[in-house]
Amino acid sequence: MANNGSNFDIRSIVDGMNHRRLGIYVFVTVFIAFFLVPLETGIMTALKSTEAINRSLPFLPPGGDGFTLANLELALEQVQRGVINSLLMALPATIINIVLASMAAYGLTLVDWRGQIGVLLLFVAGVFVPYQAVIVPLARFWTHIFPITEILSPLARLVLVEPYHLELIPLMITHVAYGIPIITVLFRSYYKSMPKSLIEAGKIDGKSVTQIYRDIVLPLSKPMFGVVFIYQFTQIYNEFLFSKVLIGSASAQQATVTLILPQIGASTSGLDYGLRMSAAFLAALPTLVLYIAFAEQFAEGLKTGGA
Amino acid sequence: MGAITIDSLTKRFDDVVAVDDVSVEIEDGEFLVLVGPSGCGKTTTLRMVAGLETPSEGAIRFDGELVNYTVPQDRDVAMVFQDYALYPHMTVRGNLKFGLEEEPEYTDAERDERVEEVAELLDIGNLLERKPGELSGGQQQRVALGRAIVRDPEVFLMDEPLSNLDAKLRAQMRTELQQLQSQLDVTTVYVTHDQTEAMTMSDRMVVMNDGELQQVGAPLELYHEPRNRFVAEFIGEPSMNFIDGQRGTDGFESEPLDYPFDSTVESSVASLSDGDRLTLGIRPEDIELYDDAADVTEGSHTESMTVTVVEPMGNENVVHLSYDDATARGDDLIAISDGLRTIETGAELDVRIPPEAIHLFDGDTGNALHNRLLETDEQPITQ
Repeated sequence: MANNGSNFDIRSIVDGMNHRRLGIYVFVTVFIAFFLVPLETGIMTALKSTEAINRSLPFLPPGGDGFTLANLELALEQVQRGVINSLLMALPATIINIVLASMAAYGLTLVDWRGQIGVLLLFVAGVFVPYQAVIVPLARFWTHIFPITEILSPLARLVLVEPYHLELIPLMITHVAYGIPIITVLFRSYYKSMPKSLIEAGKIDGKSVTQIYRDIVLPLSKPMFGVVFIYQFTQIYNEFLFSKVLIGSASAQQATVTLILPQIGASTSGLDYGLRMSAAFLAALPTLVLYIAFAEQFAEGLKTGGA
Repeated sequence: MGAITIDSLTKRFDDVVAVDDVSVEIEDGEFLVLVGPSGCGKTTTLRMVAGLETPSEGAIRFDGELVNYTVPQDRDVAMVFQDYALYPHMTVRGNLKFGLEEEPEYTDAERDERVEEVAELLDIGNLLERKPGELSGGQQQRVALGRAIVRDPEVFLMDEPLSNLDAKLRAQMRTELQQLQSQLDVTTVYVTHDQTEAMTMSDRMVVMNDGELQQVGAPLELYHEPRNRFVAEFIGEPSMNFIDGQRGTDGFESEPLDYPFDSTVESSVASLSDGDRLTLGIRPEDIELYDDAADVTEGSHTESMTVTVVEPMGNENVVHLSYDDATARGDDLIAISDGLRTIETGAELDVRIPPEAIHLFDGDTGNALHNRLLETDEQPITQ
């Protein structure tokens, strides 16, 4: 309540400032700092020369001559290959994964048939199979039982396809298979909230099960696709264990970014923190871009009761 | 072409019997209304006719052909859903055309033409490029109707299509629907819980309760000759008054009211012995209200009652009455009086229940024992 028009009323602020309120402000400020300092420290470290890192406090900005972009340039050079490999693997894997999962969820939710609960339970069980439990059989499967890389080797003669690209295929298929259960369950809960009368109207309009999916369910799942795309892409792009088992070495041509990252900046003379932080931020860039690009759909998808 | 036979139709969901042994013959071009309180199985029946549910027992025949297991798309039916079920991602044009795409006899140009034609018929021609989300409830309703009409099906199925509209629009759409139906002359099965809709629109109506068919017939037949207490209570607004009592030596006995029978009534309850439970029913509009007992000319059947509430409706007053001795309270009576007559709350009135207008129901089974006499009794009531 200002006494005379434009005057900023300090008294009302001071009056409102009791102990309780003060406590809340302090609490909030401390927490914001607690969560943001590591991120800020990372960015600062990425922009400092090695000398500056050793001399200044980690979270302070680089002073004058301590500032450098050399770390970023070097990191880009080293991490580039891994990021491209990861994108080549993760983008198709995510898209195939969510399309298949959406179809499965449609079949399990909006189409009636006997025994679907049993099949659904298999999907749910799939969510709980731990990665560690399957790595040995998985590696053997792709090398001895079904060497898909060898089977597809003629494809390497195509333009733009390098032999090492084919090495990414087992990893891609593994991610698709592993991602389907959880994404199916997410889509199912979304489809359950969809008005049943839309599907029934489609049936009465004479549409087949496939047409109803293509013409009604798929267009209406757009917000949910936004949500699961971001979620699943982040999962696959950041995954380490399968990459380690199926590709192995960071020096391999097909190495993914998660394999390359731990090697960067490591040497016998110690860790180059600046280089390492720069590489980490560059590696995280694709997921960040994705979040921004799909932010609207992401929010809508969450709002409409999906994930 | 569009005759439907429903024969001993039963539907169970696990342990719950939703529809229990319902049989109805629906003629070609007929407007049949299924009416009943929520959960009575009327929608389930409609969905079985549509092919969205499979009957547990019994048969559905279209023109004599068994369709129990025929999928909806092969039944040549169109349905209007309660929530309209318009595809939100398509324009009105897309919605109307969607079902038409599966009709092989049209070329694409003919489909467009047909869509325009139906849009004109329903007066939504100017909305064709809009999406359902941009339309008002009434407009969405029309689009939903249009989607059904555009395919020119043998049978229209409507599941409470007007229940989401406001009262005024509902009354308007009611008339429009009726006109449309008689114009298109397509067999229509219409589900509603609103007895006014059922009465005003139907050629014949089917009253259902607890999954069981209560009565089938023309609206006036059900109104004047209800087969049981449920139908009598359900049809008519305000509802029929009921007084529970028993058969006495010279008529109906109950705590608030003793009501001697005349000869016609007596003959229909002759089989009852003294002490059998009876329910007396009287429609509110048949109750006669007198300010002064001296005005009562015919016989007795008159009680003194107090007015508790008066609801003026303009053309009529709905008068709530209670018996004088409040200790012996039975059911209140509701009567309708002329709208221009002034009746004060708290007034004492002499209330006459005319014997020719009473209904009698068996107190245990609810079956009608005696229905009111009608002046037009020479001809059976049909439409």
